[in-house]
Amino acid sequence: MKSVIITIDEKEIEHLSTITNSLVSCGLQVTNEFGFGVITGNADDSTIEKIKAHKEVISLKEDQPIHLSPPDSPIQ
Amino acid sequence: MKQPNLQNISDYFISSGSQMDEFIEATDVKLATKDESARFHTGRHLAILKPGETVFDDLEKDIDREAGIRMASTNDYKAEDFSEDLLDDAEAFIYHDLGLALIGGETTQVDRLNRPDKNYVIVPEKITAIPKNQPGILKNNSTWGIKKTKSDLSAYDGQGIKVAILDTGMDLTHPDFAGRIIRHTSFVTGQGVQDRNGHGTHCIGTACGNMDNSGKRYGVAKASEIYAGKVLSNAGSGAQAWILNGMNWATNRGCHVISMSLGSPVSNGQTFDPAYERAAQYALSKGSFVVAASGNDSSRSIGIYRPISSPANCPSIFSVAAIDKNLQVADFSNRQINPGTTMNIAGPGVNIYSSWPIPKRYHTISGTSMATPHVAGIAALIFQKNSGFTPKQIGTEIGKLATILPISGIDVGRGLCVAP
Repeated sequence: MKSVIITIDEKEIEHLSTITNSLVSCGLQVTNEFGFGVITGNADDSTIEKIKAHKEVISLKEDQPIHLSPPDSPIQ
Repeated sequence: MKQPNLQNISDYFISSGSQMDEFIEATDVKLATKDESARFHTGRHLAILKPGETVFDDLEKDIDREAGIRMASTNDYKAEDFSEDLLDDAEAFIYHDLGLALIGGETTQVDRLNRPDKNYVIVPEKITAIPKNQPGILKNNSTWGIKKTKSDLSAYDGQGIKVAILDTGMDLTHPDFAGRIIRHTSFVTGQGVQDRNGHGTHCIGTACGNMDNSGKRYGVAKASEIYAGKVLSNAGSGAQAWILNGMNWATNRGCHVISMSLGSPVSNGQTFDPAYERAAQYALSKGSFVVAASGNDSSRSIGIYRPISSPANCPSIFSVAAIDKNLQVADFSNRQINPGTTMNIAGPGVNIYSSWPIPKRYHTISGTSMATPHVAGIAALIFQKNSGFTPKQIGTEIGKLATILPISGIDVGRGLCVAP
């Protein structure tokens, strides 16, 4: 399973709940649904391909974690 | 050693509300009456060598033989830092390097020393104090970042303005923030908001702090309401989903400013992340101004320039570069390289002193992470001055107020961020 960030077409935001349900039926495990048109969740590779096939999905990216420098580093 | 009597000075300041100038004048023995001057003495005395005199031989003999006072000196404490607590029953202490001695004996004993034929003079020890109705700062004692951004000269303090810092949380026990309005939540799985990294507490200190325990000012919006959103773990790592959660939380709580001293490197030609941009657009639509660090991936001194990192590269997020106290671009500070991205402003980001989790309490570090909260704090001051400004107007105002630097805009945007 991969953590994924899905962005929905702005024109389709009013249908966000319907779209989310559709993605869940594809196998997406939703962790959050944001009213501004972003859905976060977990999916395996085959599910990711199914999600990408949705025309309302304009972007699906794997979660890109952020890493700070260690606390004892002089540059943060 | 006889303890100094500091009671009189306390009474004086409570009863009269005197200013420092009056205090200085009153403690000058030449100007004050005998009764008045006595109020500002500790009850102990100082023996001071006369001009040209270098040795305390006379005094050492006199203290011992004529006054009958037990004596110690700095020669006895060379291996350790001296304090009066180390004195046992000695009632006189000679500071050889300073050319003076502190004498705590009875007045009748000290009077036997006070003779004009000696190579020293005896004067009462004076009380030194800061008046109760004076602030802790008696001169401009601020970090270089506070001075250069003129935050210490601003008539605004962020009162009533909500500033969200999305980071590693906050040391909620830090005494510098006692009495402040602090809202907090953690989006990090299995960790509370308490900051065990330090980065978040440092950033909050710069944006929202005030002064340290010696009166040194290090924070910009010193009366703002603090919203500490933990989106990075104590190890300094965070999922993008946590950061989106934090942005959504701060926006929905009505934060005027959302500051993110975080980011991940991007490659040349890479576009901004649509999810971050969407979250930022939502924040702007609700009146929140979003600011983020441009990143520390460059090594300019060896010709390496890296593009603004994500999410600062989003069009709806104000990106911040770092400069040093000589107003030069920091070696590590990223550059506006990729199409569609903009470097907006620069802030102090080299050797920045701010709060750190207890017990360390304060720490000095560098980074665009340190420049960003300076800008966030100044955005809060502008919001306070201009009630009803939209985030876009805040960005425009920051640009108008900025000090133009003789450096390309791709490195510092409109220049150095300056307080209203």
